[in-house]
Amino acid sequence: MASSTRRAPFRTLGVLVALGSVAALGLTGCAGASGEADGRVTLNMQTGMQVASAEYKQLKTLSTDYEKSHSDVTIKLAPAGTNYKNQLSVMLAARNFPDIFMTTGWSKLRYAQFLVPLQNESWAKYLSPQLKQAMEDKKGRLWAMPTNVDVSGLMYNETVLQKAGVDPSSIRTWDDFTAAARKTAELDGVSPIYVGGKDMAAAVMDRTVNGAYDDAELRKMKSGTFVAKPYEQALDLLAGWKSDGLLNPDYSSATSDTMAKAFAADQAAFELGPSTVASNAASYNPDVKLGFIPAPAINGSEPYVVAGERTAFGVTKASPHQTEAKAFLAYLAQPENETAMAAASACPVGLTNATTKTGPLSASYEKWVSGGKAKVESYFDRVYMPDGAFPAMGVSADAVFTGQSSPAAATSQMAATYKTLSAQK
Amino acid sequence: MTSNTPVTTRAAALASDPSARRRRSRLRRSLADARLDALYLPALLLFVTFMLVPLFYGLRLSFQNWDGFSPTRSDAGLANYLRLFTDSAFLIALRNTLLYGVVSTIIQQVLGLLLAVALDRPARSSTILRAVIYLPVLISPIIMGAMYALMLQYNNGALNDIVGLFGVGKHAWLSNGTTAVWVIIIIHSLQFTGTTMIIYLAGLQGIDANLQEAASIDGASTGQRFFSITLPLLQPAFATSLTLNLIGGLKVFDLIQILTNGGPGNSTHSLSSLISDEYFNQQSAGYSSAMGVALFIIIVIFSLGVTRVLNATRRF
Repeated sequence: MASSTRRAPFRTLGVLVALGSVAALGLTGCAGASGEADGRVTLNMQTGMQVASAEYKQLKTLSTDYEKSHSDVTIKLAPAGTNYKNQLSVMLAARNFPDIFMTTGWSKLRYAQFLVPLQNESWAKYLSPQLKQAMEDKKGRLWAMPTNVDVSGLMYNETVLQKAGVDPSSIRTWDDFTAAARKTAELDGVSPIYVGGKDMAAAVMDRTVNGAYDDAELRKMKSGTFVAKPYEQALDLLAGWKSDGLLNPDYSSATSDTMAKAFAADQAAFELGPSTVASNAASYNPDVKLGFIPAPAINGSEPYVVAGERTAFGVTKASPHQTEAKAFLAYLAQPENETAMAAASACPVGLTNATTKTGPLSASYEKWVSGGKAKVESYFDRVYMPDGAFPAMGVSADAVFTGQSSPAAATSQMAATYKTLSAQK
Repeated sequence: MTSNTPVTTRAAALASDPSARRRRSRLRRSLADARLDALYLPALLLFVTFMLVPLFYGLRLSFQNWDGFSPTRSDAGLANYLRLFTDSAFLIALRNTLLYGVVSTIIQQVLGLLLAVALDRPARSSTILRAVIYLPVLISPIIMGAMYALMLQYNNGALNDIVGLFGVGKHAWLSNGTTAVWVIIIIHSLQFTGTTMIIYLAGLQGIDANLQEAASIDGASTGQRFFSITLPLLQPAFATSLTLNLIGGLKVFDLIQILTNGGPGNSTHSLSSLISDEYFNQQSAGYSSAMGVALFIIIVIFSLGVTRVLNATRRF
């Protein structure tokens, strides 16, 4: 008995060590490193796409085809949850790097430090001109392969505008726009301007604030000085829509999905958001007639459309399979595959050797962008604001839309955030 | 040479030496203690890994500037803590956190006690009602939030449909910051009133029926019996439920994320939801950690204060 008593603590310790080893092995198994069993290479790819989306399904089809022609490569696609950006931040902070990841529109400003440059890849020379400012750095380095471009302006529902007797091409100023919106307000059950709640408020700012700044003010913004007056003018515009009753009454509970549904049901006249709303609306009602016009400039200069990186994939520096990862991106960049990926997202292509099939917005895209009739501006926050300012822009617009803050107070709050974010870089 | 000593001889020597016997007994006891101590190790390991390490990591992060994902970070000194005093979003969230904590506690205490007293009887209807009132506690606040979001939405929302029956026009229930804060308080309180009720029911069932009976024979009214016997004897249940309600209210997060995402503007953020917003959306992980430390201190002060007051006034 005595010897069994003496051995008991050591047995317990042994069990603990064994448990610890199992836990350690389990944790190792959770890591994102790619496997190389049997000489096969597994590429882990964070897609940033919802599993039910047309874009994810298209990517899945292409990766399956690629695996068939490359028997030594397995592509492991990871669909995204509801908040891919947060998920990605945690993975990067934990140094749990995938081989390829979707860059959420921030390949240059935010994620370049984790990515290998891709400007020497064969497809890079076809980069869409609308993406050059957003994706290429000063040294001409490119950090991701785009499968589309997010181009948009003021999106409208053609059926609603026809009923209200509004010709969208006649809208050249914000006064024209407000007058047109008032006409649509006379129709039953129609929201003249539909914004999908707090999450979509920043997109409204990105489409209005650009034209409030002149070149000198933009240079100041770029060099770290917040110029408040134009920002406040943009918020004044939003406050005017609110006080005129032009905003959707369900603003506070609306989402990008309810925006799409309202457009699909001909219950919304205008929106200032991403082009994905159009593709979602078309998925609810394939017969919906949508289009977009360039956004007027508050300071009276030329109307413009905004464009920026949307779906793009980068290869991580830490990946042990950079060659294979680059080869897969080159496969996605082939014209027919790029065309298919862009079509699935209902956006224009990101590489000029592919063909754009933008679905419900095709005609507007041909007219304003391909035809070169409209000036193209980058997303305001990605060029003139410090990284992290986009949500704060949304908060300022949301505060004005809901009457929680005056445009002046919301501008002061934005100025404080701009200063703080600039200081911590 | 000692190693060659026969076992039987050594055992006999030990048996005849009292000090050796004591040493052996002490050794056996310490080995048994060590074995028992080893059983704490898994819990200790989990506590250190998931509580202490993150706590100290967060504390260190609160003195740094970091975007939450980059390999580099810089020292911020006390800047993150000084910013707390001038940041209007933090001050709003602090006020809301106190409102969520204190007001929801009051609502849960009053409702929970009333329901417990009303349902403290051996009837089948009481059992069913208790279960119905307790059921929302079993639902995740995320799901509860999603259900209420559907009920409160402007178009096709159940609440607007109900008020519409009385000729009242549609209302955007979450479009005003003050209203939205109260909506969150009410939903949170209603969800967790069941817990308070169960704690009070347990307390009520522990009260000796003879006391009530004796008071009744002495001519005490229902009110007198409630305030002079029931309520004082419920003090231990009161202490437990009050602390749980307060901590639950101070930590509200899921409901806010689902119902308002902190909006309109920043008007409904609690400290928990603002911490998440600052970390992930504003990419201010250091500042977010400073807020976390502030929230930790607030909860510790509240909990200690409440415990102290309750202990000082404890009669049973």
